[in-house]
Amino acid sequence: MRLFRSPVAGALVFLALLSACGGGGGSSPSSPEAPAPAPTAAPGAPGGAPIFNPSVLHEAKLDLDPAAWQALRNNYQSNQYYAANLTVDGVAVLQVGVRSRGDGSRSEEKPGLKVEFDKYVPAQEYYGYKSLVIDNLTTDASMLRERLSFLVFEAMGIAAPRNAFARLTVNGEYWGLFALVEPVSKPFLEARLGEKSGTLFDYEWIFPYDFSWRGSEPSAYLPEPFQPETNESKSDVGDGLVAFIEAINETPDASFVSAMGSWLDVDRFLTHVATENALAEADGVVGDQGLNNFYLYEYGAKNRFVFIPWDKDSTFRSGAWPLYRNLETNVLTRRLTADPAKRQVYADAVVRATSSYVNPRWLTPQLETAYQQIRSAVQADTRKPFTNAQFEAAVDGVRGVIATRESDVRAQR
Amino acid sequence: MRSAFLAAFAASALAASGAAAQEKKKPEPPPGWQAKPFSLENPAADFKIALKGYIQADFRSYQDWGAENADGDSTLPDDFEWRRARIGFEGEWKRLSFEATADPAFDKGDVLKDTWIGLRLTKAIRVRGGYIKLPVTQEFLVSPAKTDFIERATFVESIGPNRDWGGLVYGEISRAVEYQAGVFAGDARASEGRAGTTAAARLVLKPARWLDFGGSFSQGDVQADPTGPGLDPEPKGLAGTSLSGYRFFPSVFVNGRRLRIGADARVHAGPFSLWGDFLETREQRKGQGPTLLDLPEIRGDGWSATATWLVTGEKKTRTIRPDRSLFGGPGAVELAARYEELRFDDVENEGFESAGSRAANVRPAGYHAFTSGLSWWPSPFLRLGGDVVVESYTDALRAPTPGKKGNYVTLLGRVQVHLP
Repeated sequence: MRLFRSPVAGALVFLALLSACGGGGGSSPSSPEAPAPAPTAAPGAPGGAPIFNPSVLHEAKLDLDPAAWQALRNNYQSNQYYAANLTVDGVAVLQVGVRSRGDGSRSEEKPGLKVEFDKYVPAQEYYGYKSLVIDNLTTDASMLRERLSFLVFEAMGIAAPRNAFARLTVNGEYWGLFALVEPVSKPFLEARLGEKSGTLFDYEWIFPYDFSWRGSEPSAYLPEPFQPETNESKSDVGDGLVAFIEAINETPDASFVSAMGSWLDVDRFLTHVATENALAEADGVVGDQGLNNFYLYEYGAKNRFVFIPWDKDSTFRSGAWPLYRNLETNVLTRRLTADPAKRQVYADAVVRATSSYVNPRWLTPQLETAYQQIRSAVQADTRKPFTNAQFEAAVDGVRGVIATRESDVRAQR
Repeated sequence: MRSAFLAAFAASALAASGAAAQEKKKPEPPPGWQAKPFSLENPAADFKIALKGYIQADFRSYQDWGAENADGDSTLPDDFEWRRARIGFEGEWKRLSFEATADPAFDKGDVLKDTWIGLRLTKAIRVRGGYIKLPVTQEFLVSPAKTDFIERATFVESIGPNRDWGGLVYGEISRAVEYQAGVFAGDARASEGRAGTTAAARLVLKPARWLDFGGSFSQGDVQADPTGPGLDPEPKGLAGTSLSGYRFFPSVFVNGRRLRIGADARVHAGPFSLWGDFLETREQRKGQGPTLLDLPEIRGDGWSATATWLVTGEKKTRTIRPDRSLFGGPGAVELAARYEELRFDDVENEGFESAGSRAANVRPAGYHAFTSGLSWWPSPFLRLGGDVVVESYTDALRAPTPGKKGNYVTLLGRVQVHLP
């Protein structure tokens, strides 16, 4: 019975033989069946992903169980995910999670979509991203406001998500014109801010809020309205934010500006707010209903923040827009612009934005290019909540605002 | 199945009456209490109680996984864990028997383990009630301290039942038939996908001393969480998790009957054993479609084939005791090899194949693994083990590294210390 003098030696030989057999797993190694379409990220920053190339009207296709699509539409207020295959310009990504998204833009007829690439396929990415927003453009009859606004933010030195228009087909049926929006997530942070180890907060408008002090408990601020998108599981995730808000409220006036300088790049923040004003926006950091439509990123080194713009479909509201509109509506902008020098920084930034970018010389050509790119797709889009005539009128309205913003600001100096 | 058990019960009743008549008078036991290091007994009172327990420390190393998330972290880093620390007691008093075992520190999921009280009416009719294992699949009924490998076959853990509160009738008839049949409050108390009241039974036929055939089943209803605005129901279907801990088939929404049917066979001769185990599950999905329509049943199929060899020549039994412990000999050494598969799919295949949890046409996911293992008992109280697991997945998209079906190699090591 004893084949080996030493049982242990026998055992080792046996194990070695078995392991050398390679596992008999019944399938050949590394023979992927369906190709994870695995598009590799474009060289350099993920922001260079071709799906966000604005010079192209992209073709996006969504294939999923018709019952799932119907359920998504029926339950458009729900965040229930459904599995689907997404193809953009011929590059497919399989078994992604897709759900309805948006606040006021949610729609049964033309759902805005959030795509999670790793919802059903662990670690799956698409051009380096884990998610993608497919904006239904239903709250802006011109469909151009966000595109133009982000261009201006970028021109002003404020990192903003890239976006590109796309014709979306669902199960072979044209579903209308949408926008592919770069998610504000780790790839964005790394490419645009140079690091991603910090905490990203998505500001979720639940109630009007103005950076006022609500006590030292992080739960007074997290997860509403500040929803942590990274480092969610860390116990101290909100500590820096609470300290920042405390500093906004408790720092004496005399030292406020210098104290804020340790928390954020004050001039950059004022440029962000000034750009909103130049764009005649009513729903941003100084929005009519309090703070809204931004991400707040706390750098990994802690206690240093930067604002990132988001969802700019309420811009170009009027050519005549008060220069200092709504600056009193939140504690941070009120106290910063109470300082004459910083008020001047803000005003100068509005002037720079309008004289350099929000004017017919710079922005109108951008508008006309985008308009020509999408016009036929919009006209064929029967699911948009406005008529083709309203689309044309809204584009004319944006043209009009662009035509007058520079002179309006100049007149208010 | 039902008629087979009725026949078994009838036969056991007949056998019981015969056995009672043949009882021989035993010699008088010595009076008084006898204390041993881990037990206390009073033979005259027919009472015995003993401590039982063991501790397991595991190490895992993932050799060539290479799977990284966006942060560059390996999805499964090498790890060490205190896997189990079972402590409890068991005893007998006349025809009563009892056990209480817990794992207060380490085991994932459920602190409470086997805890029951039993009554022996005859050898053929015994009853047991408490927190016990549902009698489905032979490997699950073996203590994790005595399994041939560090981990049971994947399908046993993924689609088999677990412990629950319930009552069981069991017994042995003429050494040729063993049966267990019971009713339980659910099919796994610690599982979020627990079924409701579940019936379970197992029948083992022993046509020869070296040959066993087994069959088992369980059936219970799973009730889905309600759906609606503001509700966030969790799927309760059975999921597939590999030996290495990778979840290759997530739970889907189920509602309705959960049925398990299993079969097994075992051949053992001296230091050798060969055995195979099979289990199929069917779960209904009433009203679980995206638009709340019924979906086709989801099916899970798993099987394994195992060979073991006690190189040092001991007879293969559940409890391995080395003929010559360390310093007097090599201890006991066992080599083992196992091949196994587990596959999930729905019973129909029409329409868009989806990985979603409410998919009508579920994207199938399968798993294969080959395990080779070495166990060494230097003494009856100490077991050292090492396994090499080679895994592969049928759905390349949902493999640990998307696009790579396999092979994924995992090394497992274990140190196990028992109470004597």
